[in-house]
Amino acid sequence: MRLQKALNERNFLKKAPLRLSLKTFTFLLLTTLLMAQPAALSAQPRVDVDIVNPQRKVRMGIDDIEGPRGSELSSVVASDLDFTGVFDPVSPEAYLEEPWERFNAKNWEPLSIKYVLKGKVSEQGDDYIVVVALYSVGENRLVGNAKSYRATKTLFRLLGHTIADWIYENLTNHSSVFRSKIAFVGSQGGQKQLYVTDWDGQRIRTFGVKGKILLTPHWSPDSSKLAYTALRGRTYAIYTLDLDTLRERRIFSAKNGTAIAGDYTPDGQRIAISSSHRGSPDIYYLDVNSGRTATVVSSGGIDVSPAVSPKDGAIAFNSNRGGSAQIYLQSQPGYPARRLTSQGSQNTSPAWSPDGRRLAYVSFTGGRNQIFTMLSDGSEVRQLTFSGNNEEPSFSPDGRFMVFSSDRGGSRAVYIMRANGQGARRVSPQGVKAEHPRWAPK
Amino acid sequence: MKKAAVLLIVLLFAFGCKGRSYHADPMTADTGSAQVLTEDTGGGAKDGGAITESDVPGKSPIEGEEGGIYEITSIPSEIFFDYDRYDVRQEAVSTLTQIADYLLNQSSDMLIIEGHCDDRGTNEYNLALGDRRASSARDYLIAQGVPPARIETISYGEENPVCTAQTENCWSRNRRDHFYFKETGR
Repeated sequence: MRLQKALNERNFLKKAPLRLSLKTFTFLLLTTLLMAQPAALSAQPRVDVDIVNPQRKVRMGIDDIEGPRGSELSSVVASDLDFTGVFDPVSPEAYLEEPWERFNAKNWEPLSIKYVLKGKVSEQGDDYIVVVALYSVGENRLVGNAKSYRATKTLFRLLGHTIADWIYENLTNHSSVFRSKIAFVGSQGGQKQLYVTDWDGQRIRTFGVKGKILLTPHWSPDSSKLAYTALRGRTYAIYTLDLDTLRERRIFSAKNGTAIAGDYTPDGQRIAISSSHRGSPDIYYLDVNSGRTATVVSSGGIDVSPAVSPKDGAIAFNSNRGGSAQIYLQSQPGYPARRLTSQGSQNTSPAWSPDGRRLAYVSFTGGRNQIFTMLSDGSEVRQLTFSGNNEEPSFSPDGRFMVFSSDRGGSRAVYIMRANGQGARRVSPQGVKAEHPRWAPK
Repeated sequence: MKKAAVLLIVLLFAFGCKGRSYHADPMTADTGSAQVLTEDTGGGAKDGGAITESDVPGKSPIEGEEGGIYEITSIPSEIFFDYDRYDVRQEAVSTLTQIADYLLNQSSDMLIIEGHCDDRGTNEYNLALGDRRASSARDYLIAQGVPPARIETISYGEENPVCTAQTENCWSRNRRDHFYFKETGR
């Protein structure tokens, strides 16, 4: 059942051929005939999310999609857009136009709404078919073309996320995070388990991967596998879990030592790990197919938490070679490592942004762990979190958000926030101690 | 505590003065009684004659999934470390010496060293730090002559704290190596 679901998800999003019912056809026909020609997608985005300066949020009209569970779909779309901090979905109670009425810009102008979503959903056997249209109030016409999707009913929420993603991409020329996933380690009553959740904390699933200690899940670049560390009995080992076949493979073990999984390399063939099998914790590349290791960083002290830059494979890591835990950068194997962090008594947990320009990390300050960012040369240090203990940052695939673990709510849980530190909200379930989160790159 | 120390010292003299002379495992002693310990007649013993004792040196078994794990009541089961450090402190030497002696002169069992940390760093860094704390004690014991094959180390980082308060008192209690023995042949 799970396997089928996983397969469906990976194949889903081949856009549905437009097999339309008469009703839907009429809807579309009316829409196109009664409007002017739809505007071509311009090179300049309608909504610019790359501007650094604060700008007014774009007010959106997310009309209830007509049909079974249509208002739920609209709800998913509205929450997704709202979280970005760029859009402001106005509450449907204020709308002057019913979902079934023809779009008229005059109904939306009084609310200062800029773009409107309308659509219809219908059932066909085990599937939903949805047709959606996005309108520009200012131009009084469609943005791009109407869109149709078909999805099995079990993928209902994913359908909502896909519509939100389509809107986001149409308006900003960027893809969104709405269909992305987050992995983390959760424990309830002592036993630790691997969890994967949608980015918004919904559709949480576990895979039966357990361990007395379970740490550091890392996604492969195509997001088909998770590598992680597990303590079983008294041996630490590194495993990979294939999310399609749900098969676990042990690829490295360290007797009498610790072996901790780090980032995959951009080609997905190796994992950077920290292992003490030669005496002190050092950093190696572990080939996922052959299990062979190659030394990357070695010192007499502690070298741990390797983060591999998605852009050029440079390795940022944690070392105490200077007397305290700090973050270092080795731009190429064999080159001497350069110290990046200069403020704070303990700097740990480096994580690269997807464009390889920034590092998020954890600094012990004011008696607590807080999340900071800096450029890859150590400059432009910025503190993002201020309350509770906040650790283990990981960027979203578009670099605009972060997932992290925090005890600000009393016990350790997984939160997401925008990459400027705003808008933090919990995504792990109540009652589960959650940590080691990692945002999937695809 | 003092009584036990005295007893230990007496036992040490009785057994250990000539280095590594092993005695028949009390469990299989000829006398058929598991409780009478025979002394080394090789000289150097301050007290003559046999020493009897009511029990095998204070083994207190530890419950767990594995059998055969125990601590010795007369030997401290922990040593402690400074913040972000893993060097063996002066105060820890006495414990390590007693452990080395037990392993070399009183038992052929294995030693398990668990390294632990307070929770102030990341889990990964602390896993590595705990690893170094365990290795550090291990290296010390090897230097005392304990064969490496009889020592197993494992790090729990910050995952197994004895307390969770965010105070120096609690943190210092967590920065530790914990020692267990494990019966061989299990």
